[in-house]
Amino acid sequence: LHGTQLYIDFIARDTIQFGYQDCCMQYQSFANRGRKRLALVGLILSPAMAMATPVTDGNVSRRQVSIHAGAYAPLFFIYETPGFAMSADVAWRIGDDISTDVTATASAIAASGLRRYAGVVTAGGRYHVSPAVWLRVGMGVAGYRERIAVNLANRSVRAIDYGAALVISTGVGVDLGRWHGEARFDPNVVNGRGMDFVGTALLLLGRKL
Amino acid sequence: MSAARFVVAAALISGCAAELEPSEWEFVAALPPKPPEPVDNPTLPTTVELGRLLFWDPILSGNRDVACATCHHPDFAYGDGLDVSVGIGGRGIGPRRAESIAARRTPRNSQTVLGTGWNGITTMTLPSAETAPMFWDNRKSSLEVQALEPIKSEVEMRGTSYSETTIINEVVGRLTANSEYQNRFAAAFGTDVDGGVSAANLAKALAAFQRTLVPLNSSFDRFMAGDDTAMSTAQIRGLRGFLAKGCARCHSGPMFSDYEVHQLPVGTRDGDTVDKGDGSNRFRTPSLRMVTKTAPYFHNGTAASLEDVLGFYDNNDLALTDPLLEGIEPPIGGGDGDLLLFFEALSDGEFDRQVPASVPSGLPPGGQ
Repeated sequence: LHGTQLYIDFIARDTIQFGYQDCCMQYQSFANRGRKRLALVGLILSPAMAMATPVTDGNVSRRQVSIHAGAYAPLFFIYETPGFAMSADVAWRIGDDISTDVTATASAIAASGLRRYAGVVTAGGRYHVSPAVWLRVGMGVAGYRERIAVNLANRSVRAIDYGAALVISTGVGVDLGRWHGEARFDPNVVNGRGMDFVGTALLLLGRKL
Repeated sequence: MSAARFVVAAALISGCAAELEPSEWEFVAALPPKPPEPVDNPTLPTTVELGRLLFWDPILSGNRDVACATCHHPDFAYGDGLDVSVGIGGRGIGPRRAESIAARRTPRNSQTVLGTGWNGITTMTLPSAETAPMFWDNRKSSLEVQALEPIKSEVEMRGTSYSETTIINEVVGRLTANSEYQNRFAAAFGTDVDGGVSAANLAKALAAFQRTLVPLNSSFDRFMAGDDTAMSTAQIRGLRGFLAKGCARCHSGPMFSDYEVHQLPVGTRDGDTVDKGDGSNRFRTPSLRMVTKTAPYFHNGTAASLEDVLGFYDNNDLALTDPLLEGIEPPIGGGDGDLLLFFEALSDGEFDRQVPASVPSGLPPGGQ
């Protein structure tokens, strides 16, 4: 899990840095501490990207199906830890550098006294900046359902919460042979009822089928 | 990710308890209906009304310009809205009071007196009115003992015209010379040996009135009484975060205070000398009742807002000064918002906002 931990750190620090830039001065020191972690992640990812096998139309299917697992965090962090996410996507090459895709992601965050389950479905397009690296933009819908449970001396506190939002999905992905890594940030553009965070950060690692 | 790693990650998530169960000393609770009262000072209407007039009457100050209500005003939830309160030399109430050229600043923030009748209550113990801890450093016990202390303080009410040992006799003399106060003291305490106007009865009247200044019917209290709609889901999430992140290690019980003294790395304002609190740099955990209405925060008002307070907890290693505080940090990001909404549920209760139109001395109620 060591590699996964690095990715979680990446998300956590980047998320906090986002929070600082947006409104929260007190997180500046957190963001500064995070830069070393970001540099470390960069050191790991850069050689991997350089070694990636070139992919051409001649030796890959025009349709790619991927399944991923990874870390998830609603932005801003509402709880102490990132959650766990599963994602699947189907992509079609429609040009030398362009693909379209559909993604579906389910995630769960758990901490003492709460369970939050969230999902996001998006459709978008990928631009392949190199044979191994692509950038992605899409749109979709996100939603969550959450259960809170606290037991006090004279009161058992229970609550169910849910919410939905329209999101823009942005991401960067790396193809390493059959392995597939992706960092995604899906900011909410229209918050529906109960949506209490501004977007979702995802870091996913998976395989093409 | 291999299947084994996937299973490990999923197990980590499912390993968190579905229900949060704080330890008994971290429980929070609704306020009981009525604060305790000492045997020799029951909360009677005549005593309370006398106490109200005294609370608002600047006749209790050396220069007849400062009343208890000057720094404990209902417009500021019985605080004063200042970082540190301004006693003698100030004019007006609230933040503008500090703008006066002659204003004398006290070293500490004026705490709300709402709920002080409950001082000492925890989830484990009911308080005794005679031993209830008072002031930021718990240096006095009971509202009756506390009541005369600000009158004796040079910077708060006494001024320089009288000494600490002569001011109480001076005030008792003024009250004795006032026929309305004479009658009201007689009605409240009788006219026998211990009755009438006296320092002890002055303290009792002030204490009896303060015992009625209780925040009632807040969203949190209604929720704890069984009204599931009294708090929003975000506020309930804030309550969970409050408990999960360790806030209730100190801010516990019905008043959200353990009434113990703790040392936090709170800084000093420029030009101020270090306030050692109880002598060991410790100050009492303030109640969070009415907390959104009682800014600024900390014993010296160095945190202007609740966001600043959360930032303080986020950026300081609290275990360096108090081991009990190890690992405490506020929820970050969106959790801040939920926590602040929860604080609103502690602060939307009703309380006595009555301002007397006049006081027996004829001086302006609440002072100048």
